[in-house]
Amino acid sequence: MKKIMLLKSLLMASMLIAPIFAEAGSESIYFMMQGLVTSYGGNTAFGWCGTYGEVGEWAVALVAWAPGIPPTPPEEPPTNFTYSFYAANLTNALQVELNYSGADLYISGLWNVYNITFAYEITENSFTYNLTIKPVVEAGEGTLVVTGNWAVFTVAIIGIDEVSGIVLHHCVKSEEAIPIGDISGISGVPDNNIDIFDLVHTAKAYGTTPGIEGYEFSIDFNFDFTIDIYDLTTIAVNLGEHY
Amino acid sequence: MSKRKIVSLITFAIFFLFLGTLVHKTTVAVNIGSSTTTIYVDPQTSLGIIDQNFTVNINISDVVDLYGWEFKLGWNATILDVVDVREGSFLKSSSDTFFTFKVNNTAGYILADCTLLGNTPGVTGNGTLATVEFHVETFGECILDLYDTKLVSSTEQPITHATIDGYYYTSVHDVAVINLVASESNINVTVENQGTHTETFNVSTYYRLLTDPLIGTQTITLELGAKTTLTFAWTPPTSGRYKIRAEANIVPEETDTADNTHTITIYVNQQDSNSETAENTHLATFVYFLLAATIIIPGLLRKKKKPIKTLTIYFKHYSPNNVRNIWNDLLRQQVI
Repeated sequence: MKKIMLLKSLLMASMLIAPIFAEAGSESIYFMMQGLVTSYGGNTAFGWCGTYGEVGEWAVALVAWAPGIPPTPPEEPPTNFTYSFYAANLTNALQVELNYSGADLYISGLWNVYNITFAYEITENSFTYNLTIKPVVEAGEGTLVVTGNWAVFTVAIIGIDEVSGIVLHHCVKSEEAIPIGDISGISGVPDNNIDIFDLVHTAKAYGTTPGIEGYEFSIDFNFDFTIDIYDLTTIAVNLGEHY
Repeated sequence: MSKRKIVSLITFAIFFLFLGTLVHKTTVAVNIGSSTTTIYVDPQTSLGIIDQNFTVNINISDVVDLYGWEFKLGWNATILDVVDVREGSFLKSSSDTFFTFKVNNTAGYILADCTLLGNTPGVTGNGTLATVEFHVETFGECILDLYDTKLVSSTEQPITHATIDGYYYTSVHDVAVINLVASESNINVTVENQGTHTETFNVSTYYRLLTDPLIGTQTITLELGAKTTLTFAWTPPTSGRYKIRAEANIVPEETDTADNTHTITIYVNQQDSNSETAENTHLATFVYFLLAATIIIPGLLRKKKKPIKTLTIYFKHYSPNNVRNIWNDLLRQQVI
């Protein structure tokens, strides 16, 4: 009888205390990370990884990579060529945590992976291309993990080899979401400001596609493989923001 | 030639050679005609009218290879609102551009950005980056503050530059009569231009006796903030109390008209040039009453004579046949 009374007391106490802790832990925490892909399946690779979201709520993650080293600048005059790469995007975030299981950032969920090929035909002053998108993984389980005190990242998706790389820039802050668009600055690297340097960096690549000089996955904010008005507008919305 | 002379000559030669080198270096080091890239508000001073709009350009001068720009422009949000921001022709005359802006009329600032598109060289020279249209909400003045300006070249490098702010004030037409002094011969009217424009207007003076005859009218031109005193000569037709009025005619768009008229009262006495003749009047009155008192009052104080009564008294006088004695007695009775 005494044990039952004690258990009931503890249960009631926890019901009173839990809301207090819940109230204290309800503060929103936002994160952002940008990195360069350096390895695919243990072999040299190049590419880009970007993710942002709210801890415990949602996340966006995009990874694009290709085996080998970055291509050299095209010949003069450039000739027809093809450009292939892999692209993975997180379609459904199931778990988004900071400082979880030894990781600085842990995201698990469902991913789509595609093999994308641009077949370019070069004309005198312009180019056209034929785009091919082949699904590799559809709604596959996978994780994005950042470790080493925000030094390296690893993307592990069932159905493909592991992708890894180094972190270039990251931010964790509470209360306010981190504005999108900081991809450059006076020194050519993200500087925690969304300003004309970000706009100019993106505008210089205006109209480019993967494989064309100037294109960068980091400025393809809607991941449609074209640097266009949508990418400029994404920056414009956040101009003047500082985080 | 002696050794000493030869050494002196060589020394002088070396000295002048060295001097020439210095002059040459100095001449080479002078940089004539250097210029600084500048972003500035044009016109530097703007004049607006309440409930109307005005525009300013954000211009740039002496820039090389400009690919993108950004600026913030601040103002007093109580006085002004921004109604539109339009891209200037400087970049878009060269190539396609992307232009965007944000307006915060509560805090009183705008943020504007513009960039060329694609792999194209930047623009060099002078021109207009943007045009900002304001609406004047109320009277006042403020700085049009250009700040957080950024210029980026085609190589994504910052371009060093200077900035020059603008200034705004609300247009006011206002003249006033600020002082009026009159004598028996002259009327001095001090008028002041309290507005923001040079004004040409009439100043008239009047006196009131039975009607308001015009004393005179003078036409003057006053720079903004200036004042002057005008003199009107006049001859009062008679002594008495006069109301002198000075009027500055209402200039176009003037709303503060209460101070365009000034009125004073003066007293004119022909024998005393001093317009204040009240003292003399009081003195004359006092003398008059004093004289009257010296004449009237003693008269009032003198005793009254009793009226003479006739009394006939008969009495016996035993003097035989002394008619004269009888007559004397009668006379004595009358006197008493």
